[in-house]
Amino acid sequence: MPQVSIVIPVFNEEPCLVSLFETLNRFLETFDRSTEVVLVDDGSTDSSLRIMTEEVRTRPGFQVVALRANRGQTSAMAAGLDVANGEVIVFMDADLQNDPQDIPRLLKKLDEGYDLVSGWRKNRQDRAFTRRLPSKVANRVIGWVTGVHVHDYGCTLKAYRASVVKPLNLYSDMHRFLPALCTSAGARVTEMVVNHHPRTLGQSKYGLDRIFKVVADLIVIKMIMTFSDRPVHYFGMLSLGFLLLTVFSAGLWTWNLAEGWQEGTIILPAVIVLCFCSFLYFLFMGLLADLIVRVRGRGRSDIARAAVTEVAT
Amino acid sequence: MSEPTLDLSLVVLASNEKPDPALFTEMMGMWRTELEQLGRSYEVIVVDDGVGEGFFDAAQSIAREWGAVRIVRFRRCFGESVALDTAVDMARGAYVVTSTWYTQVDPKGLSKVIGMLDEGTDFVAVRRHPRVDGVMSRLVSWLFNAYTRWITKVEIYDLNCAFRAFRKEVVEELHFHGDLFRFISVLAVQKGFRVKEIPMQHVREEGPSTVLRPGLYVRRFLDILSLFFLMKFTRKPLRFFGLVGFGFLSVGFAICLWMLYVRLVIGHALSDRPMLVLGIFLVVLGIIVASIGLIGEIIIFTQGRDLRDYHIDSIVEGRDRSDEEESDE
Repeated sequence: MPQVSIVIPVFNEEPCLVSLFETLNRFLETFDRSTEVVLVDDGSTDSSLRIMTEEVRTRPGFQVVALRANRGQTSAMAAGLDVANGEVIVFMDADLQNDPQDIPRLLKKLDEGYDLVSGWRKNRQDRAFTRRLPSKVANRVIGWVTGVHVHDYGCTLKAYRASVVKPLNLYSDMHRFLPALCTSAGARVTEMVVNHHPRTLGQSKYGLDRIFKVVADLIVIKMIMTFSDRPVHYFGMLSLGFLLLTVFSAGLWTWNLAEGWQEGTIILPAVIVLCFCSFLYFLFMGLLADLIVRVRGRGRSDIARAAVTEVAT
Repeated sequence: MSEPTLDLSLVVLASNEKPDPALFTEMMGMWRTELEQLGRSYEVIVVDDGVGEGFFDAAQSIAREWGAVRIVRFRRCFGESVALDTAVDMARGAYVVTSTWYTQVDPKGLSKVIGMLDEGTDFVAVRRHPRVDGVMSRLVSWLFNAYTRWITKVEIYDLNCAFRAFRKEVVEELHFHGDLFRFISVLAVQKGFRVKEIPMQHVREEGPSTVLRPGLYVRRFLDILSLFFLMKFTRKPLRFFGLVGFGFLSVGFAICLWMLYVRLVIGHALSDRPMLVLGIFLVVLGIIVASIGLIGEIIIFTQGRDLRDYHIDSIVEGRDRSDEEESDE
């Protein structure tokens, strides 16, 4: 088992690949831990896969994992994770904006007892308006909602202890939220400033359409972090809130009738009925959600699996 | 799920509170005496559900001098369901005995409990009786147990005693999540296992002063509601949601018809009739609740392959005459 697995998702990075291999080689020559490099081809339509396959043939410790079709960064990372065997997993971009020379520092930080070290591109070399500003806002919002404050959720260069990240199920665009997911598995998370180079070769695959996706994913993550294992409690609490509102407005209505006021005759009953219906609706939703958790069968959630830290024998 | 290689696994759970290492060490000593006397092969699994350094250190120092001890540690607290589930997965014993980190009942009861399992009981629950804790906590406990008995119709008198003994495969067949671990004896009864509850002298006041917040009661209440629903309707959600939804729908429909009658035949204006709002809302709610039931059915139909509600106790195979003759020879 190698100590470190470097996982690099690749999608149409033909122009970068030659220098990527050079950079990696230069890095591996001086690196003192056993390392494997997993390159995941995310269904590239250019000749990336062919170039990588040829390069890898002469390099022990390198692997290319080819996905049948393009499925996005999260899926590529998940595929790399399936294959990687290292005790520590380091994700990295293929576009040379990350610097492998940062990896030893990240690992040193892990050795201090952290489970996840996130890279922070403090001096980011991207366009300010379309890339840096939305990213800054997103990081703030994600930190605020999940309670996990990392400056740069979007930075791919992150080092994970394999026992934490491997049991997690990565899908959709969840890679952005890995630090938050890991935290809910009890991981100790920290961050450190890493180098960031401007993109000189190839082109970026990110656009502004990310904003809505991030918002939607954020709602999902928040839900998963807080109540994926006991939904009936949370839906139930919500529903009981509505029950209280129902009782309160019913009281108000009775008082209204007794005093003979006119304003309340139609509005308050409508509020009562609405609150009562919401109460039942959320209660039943909670039961349905519990049914789904039940159908998972015997077994713990991925997050709980990721949280088992040591088995001393 | 591998074949058990030992006779017995003792699982010690520490969850949701700050354990006192001294009490824990003392209890482990008592267990050790008991387990050695029993004369069977055993192991001890200590689960540290993210309860802090003091406990883990104590467990480690016990493990250093007692080779049978294994420790599992969670990075943060996940609750007893997850802890128990993990421990049962790891257990190598044919029987599993669970305990809290402090002495609830005297470990001397172990040999009796094991004897019952030997005689064919699948699950032995323990009732702390007579109890030694305060009137208030006894009252709360009694209410909780009586309410559960009433809802589930299962005659178990003490759900909260953590001393339980069962065959490993029993819990492997049960599904519990959230706070349902409390009800595993009830779930085992429902699965058709032979469950017995025996009284044992209660030794110590329940943990170090458990503070019960009102939110906790609401959660317990919701747990039991969910337990009732899952026990009765897991395999047929539409029976439940459909009935409730149909009820709302018909009441709402009746109200709307009446309103129509009032408007068309009697000729009153409806603009200040709250009844109309109620009728319309009930119709909508009825439709939504019934659809929730339909979604439930789809989930069960597509995902519920492994949800068996029966348990094959034994299979008796008829033997051919000729086989018998052969074996006689």
